Amino acid sequence: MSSPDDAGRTAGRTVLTVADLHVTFPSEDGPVHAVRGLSLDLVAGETTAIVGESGSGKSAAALAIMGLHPPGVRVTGSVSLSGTELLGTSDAVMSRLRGNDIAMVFQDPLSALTPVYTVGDQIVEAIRVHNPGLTAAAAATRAVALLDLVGIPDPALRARSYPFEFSGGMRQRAMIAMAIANDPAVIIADEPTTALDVTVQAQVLEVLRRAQAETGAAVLLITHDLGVVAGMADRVTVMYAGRPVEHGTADEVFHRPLMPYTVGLLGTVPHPDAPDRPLTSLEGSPPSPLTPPPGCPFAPRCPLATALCREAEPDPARPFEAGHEVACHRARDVRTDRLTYDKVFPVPRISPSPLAGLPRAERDTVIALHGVRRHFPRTSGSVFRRRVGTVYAVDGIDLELKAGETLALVGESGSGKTTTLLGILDLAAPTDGRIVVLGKDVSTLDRAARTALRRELQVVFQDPTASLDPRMPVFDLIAEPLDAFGYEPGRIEQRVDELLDLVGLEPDHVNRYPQQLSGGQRQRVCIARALALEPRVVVLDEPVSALDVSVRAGIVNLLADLQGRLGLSYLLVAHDLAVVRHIADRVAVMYLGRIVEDGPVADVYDHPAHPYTRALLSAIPIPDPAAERGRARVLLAGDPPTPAEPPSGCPFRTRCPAFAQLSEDQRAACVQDTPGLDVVHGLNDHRSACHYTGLIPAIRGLDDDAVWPRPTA
Amino acid sequence: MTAPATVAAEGPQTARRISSRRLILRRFGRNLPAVLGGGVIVLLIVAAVLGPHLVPWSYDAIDPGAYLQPPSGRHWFGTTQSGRDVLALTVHGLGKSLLIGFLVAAGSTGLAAVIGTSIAYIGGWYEKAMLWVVDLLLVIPSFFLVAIITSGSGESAWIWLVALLAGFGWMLSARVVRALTLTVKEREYILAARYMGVSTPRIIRRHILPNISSLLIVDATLNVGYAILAETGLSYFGFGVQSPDTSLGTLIAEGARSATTFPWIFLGPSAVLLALVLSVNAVGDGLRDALDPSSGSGGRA
Repeated sequence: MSSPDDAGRTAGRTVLTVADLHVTFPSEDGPVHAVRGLSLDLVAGETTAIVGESGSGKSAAALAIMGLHPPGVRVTGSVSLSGTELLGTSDAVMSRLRGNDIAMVFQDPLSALTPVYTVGDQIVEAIRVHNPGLTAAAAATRAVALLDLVGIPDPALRARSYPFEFSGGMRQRAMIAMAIANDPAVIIADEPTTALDVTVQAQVLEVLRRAQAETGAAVLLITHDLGVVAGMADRVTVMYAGRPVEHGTADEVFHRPLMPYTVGLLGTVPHPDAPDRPLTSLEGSPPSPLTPPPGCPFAPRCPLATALCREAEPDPARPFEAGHEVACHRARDVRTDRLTYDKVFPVPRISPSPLAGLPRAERDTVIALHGVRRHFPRTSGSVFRRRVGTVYAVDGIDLELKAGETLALVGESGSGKTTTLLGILDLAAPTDGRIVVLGKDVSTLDRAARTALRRELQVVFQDPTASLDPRMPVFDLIAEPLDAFGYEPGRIEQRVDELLDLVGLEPDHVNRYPQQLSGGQRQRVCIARALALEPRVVVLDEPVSALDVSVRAGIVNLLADLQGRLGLSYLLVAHDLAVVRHIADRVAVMYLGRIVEDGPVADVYDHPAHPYTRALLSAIPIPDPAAERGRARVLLAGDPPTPAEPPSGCPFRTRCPAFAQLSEDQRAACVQDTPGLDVVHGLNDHRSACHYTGLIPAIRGLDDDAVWPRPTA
Repeated sequence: MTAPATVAAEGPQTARRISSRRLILRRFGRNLPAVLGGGVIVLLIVAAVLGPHLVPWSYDAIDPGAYLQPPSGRHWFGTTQSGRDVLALTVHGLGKSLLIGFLVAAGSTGLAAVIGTSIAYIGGWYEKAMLWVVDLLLVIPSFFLVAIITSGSGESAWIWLVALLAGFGWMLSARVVRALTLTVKEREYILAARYMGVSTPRIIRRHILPNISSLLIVDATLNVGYAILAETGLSYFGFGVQSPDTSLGTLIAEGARSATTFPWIFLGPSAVLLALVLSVNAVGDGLRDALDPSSGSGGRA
């Protein structure tokens, strides 16, 4: 990297000041105030995070700082970079600054890279646009050096690759390389890891830290993930309904929050290291930015709201004590009464399962998979299709879901979780092996029997917006399965009422359309629809990952309560490992179409046996800055291999941190034999597929300290 | 990241909520040419329905002695070579052209909807076979086929014309419908309905058709214009609507021969045709923009 060349680079110096920023969008119904009075100081070498739900104005603020809003959007206030005012300057001036002094890393690196140029060329372009004097060859050398810096293996070769040849994590690294190409004073990262798997997220955050260390830039990190904030940020600004409501150092905000919204938000996030902590739910949703209520925008959701809160909106975050600003009328009470989240917000009542006392072995098996394989042919040629290979999406898995329990499938994308799930839902014979649902082998079913079995097996998908037909009102949506199974109209009406009550919706919601409901309410409609036919098994495909953080806990609690009340069995697929620990009884870890470890959730999380599980668990961000700091991580190299060409022997050996430390003789077993699931020493019902399970806890970098943080103090 | 549009859309709708129909109407209302076009179409329909009762002359009545008269108080649009009133003829022809236009539009869009959705949703051999039929129909020179069949069928020629124009007009729309259905088919709510045990025709009727309805409405509107022009073209060459029945096309054909010497025979029907087709296209464009949330007919900050 070039040496710091301008004055704004000394650590601790404020490089970018945002004062009283307002952003207003035009809309059908009148102006939308997306950002209302944001003030921020970005300090060189520090990371400031903006946290908020979708619609809180955090991205609108970032675009305003970059001057990237289209002309119809009104932006007022002040944004100054080392004393130079940026608002109101011409696009030509901003173009010189963008990419040179202020760089941006976007959420979706695929759409942020141009598909028709090589990655190297795009970085070269970013360099030469701001350094016209540099020769093409020098810029190319620099691009390769940058790719090397962000951890792209074989950078000289990969610089000649096109974006589609890169995986999501590599694209995001390339974006970071491009962002730091001109040694910017400010890097704005807008949800940089939201689209990535947890292990890749850990890598990318590491690269972002390294990039900051190299350039000494101030980083503005925009995210909704409190775990990421805890691990990355020095300072945190919490935004709600366009306003900054709390601002302070990460420790202050996480450990001594003042604003009830922050308190509640922290209470809704499961801590993977504290599974018994109840999750409080923050019901409701932010007010419409079109017609904001007269008082504090959070008042309708705030249990502490008083008459004053409903009448007068507090000023944007003002100093409360040193290093801590807040916009709340009740902040003093929150501090003096030591109000923690479980004192402010109601702690949910979760119904116990009627099967709670029954040992697992004595329960009925509701879903059983025996050696299930699902292979897809890879074809080539458009006129004469011929088979050129096989995608081993699911490659021999055994699973058993017992009545009344929750089994979670976890793993990175491409590990075969969703294929397994859809394979069960299709009720069709797999490529190989047997799928048994409620005692019936699905390959023996005829059409009528299959339809009958669908009653017992229902599904809730990830994105409630996508899984509800936007043109149907809530009543029709919930009534659809009842209708399809020939219920009488009178009975349907009665059942829909029961279901609305069961999932915590109001009877008058029946006339609304999905787009008139909040994300949490939509997911409740999906759950009501899945429960309409009184199924015994519900398949949950990432049930909360598309929802805003504040309403996730409400859905998690609802699912847990319904399981107890109705005696349901859940088959859950999730990539949020903290949520899995909170609601699952058993967990199966998948890697490249195989199960590498399974067992009771407490055993697997507290004593992970497989190196992959250890890496996965150590990558979960913990929403606690102190715990995050005391943590060593198992960082996995690279991305998972493609399931079209799995490695021989153990599928994980190409990325396994233990494999690298084994002797030549020991490695032979990993290369030649695929390990089967064996019971882990000393622990019942907990199995791992590794040749060297016993050795793992002693291996450097994979020891027990690496998984969870050592207790501080 | 949150795009500006979602920032606006994601707030809960606690306050006044506008139904989507009213929203579309409002967006349509901002488009002046479309509103004017809509007005003109309504006027023309009223003229075609009420006109024959208001005009003192019948379209097949002959005013002896008034051959090739220019516009006057007695004959507002003048008369033809055979002494028929041009205004009465225009009104009658307009009615026939409108009838043909709307029937063809309904027919071809209906065919496109049914065939397009079913080939996309059912897939397999049915899709292959139907796509082959579509491609085959696309390469048939339909103009000549329509010309040959209608020219020998006398009074009922216009019914044949409607059937044939609809029968040859749906293929391109069906391909678009198919492409749209392919994307809608992958939506999770279709998958959810399938896993709930809902049958295929029911899924097409309840989930797929309503979700591509905006395309179908626009397609139907634009097809009206297409059908009227096609009918006019065929009639101009003497193949479409057969005498004594008349349409705008036959009138224009008749008038064109003497357009330089007795322009009134030609000008009346041409002006009406021009107004009609322009209006229909303006309405079609306006509907397309109003139904497409990404088009730039939003409000101001």
